[in-house]
Amino acid sequence: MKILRILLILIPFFSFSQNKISGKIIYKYRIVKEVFNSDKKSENIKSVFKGFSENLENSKEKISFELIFNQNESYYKMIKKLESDHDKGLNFAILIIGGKEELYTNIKDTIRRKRITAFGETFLIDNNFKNSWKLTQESKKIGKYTCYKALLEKKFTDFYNRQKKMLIEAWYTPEIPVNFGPKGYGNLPGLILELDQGGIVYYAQQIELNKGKNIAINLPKKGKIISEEEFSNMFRKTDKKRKNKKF
Amino acid sequence: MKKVILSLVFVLATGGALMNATSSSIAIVKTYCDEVYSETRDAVTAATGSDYIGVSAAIAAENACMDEMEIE
Repeated sequence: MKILRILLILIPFFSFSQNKISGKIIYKYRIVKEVFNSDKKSENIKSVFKGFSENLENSKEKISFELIFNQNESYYKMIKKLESDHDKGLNFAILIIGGKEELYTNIKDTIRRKRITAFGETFLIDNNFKNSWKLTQESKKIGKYTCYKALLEKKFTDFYNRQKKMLIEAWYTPEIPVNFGPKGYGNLPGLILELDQGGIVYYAQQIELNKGKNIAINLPKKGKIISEEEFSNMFRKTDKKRKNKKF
Repeated sequence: MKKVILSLVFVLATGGALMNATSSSIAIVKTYCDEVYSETRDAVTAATGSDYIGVSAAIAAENACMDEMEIE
């Protein structure tokens, strides 16, 4: 029964996947739970984290992301706002929401490339395209689309060298048969219309589809190509240097 | 002459105390902003799963903390 159900979900995906499709999705975000855990923190830190949450809440109308895609490739980036350079709260929100990163994905050649400017240099970070999503049968309607829930455990190492996990929840629709989504997430049997990462929900606000049409998307090439581990180590070194300077 | 020396001693003594008070306030603020740095780094890394965002946010928060306290 479970297999039959999964097959039924996948049928539209395979039947449409031979046709050309392209489009543009505008994603916005909303906050659904406390993003910065302030349990057991001092009153001062609680107040700092409250300020961070207010920054996120107050900036949500000003921040949007654009995902353009064709059958095999996608490009995800923030839509630039002129005012962002001088507003510290907005700049902080942009950083947390992932607005300083641009993401190119190519499912045919299994490329996922992140473009980030840091330390005055542009870096092109290549990372693993495959995500081990756990597909579920839970469904809901988002607009006119039937979406299914998928879960992903993202592993990371904290600054005390402890292995941590965070749970990412995606709602994808097989009715739009492309494997993309916000923040470079994808590799699901349909477009991700909603993605919850740590209480920040990225949701599709506008969907434009061009069936039978193709659009060109280019792999970003200008910048220093670096692995995710090397990029991460640059920031760990900056953090260590700061500690050594202090003591 | 004795009066002048006594006044000078007084000025030096109060000046020294003031300087001690100032450097002790700076140390308190620096300790506080340092706490803001580490707590922000850890909380943001936990929320985003990205050490790049964690460290960048921590640097921004520490700078804002120092600016707020008017310390260079």
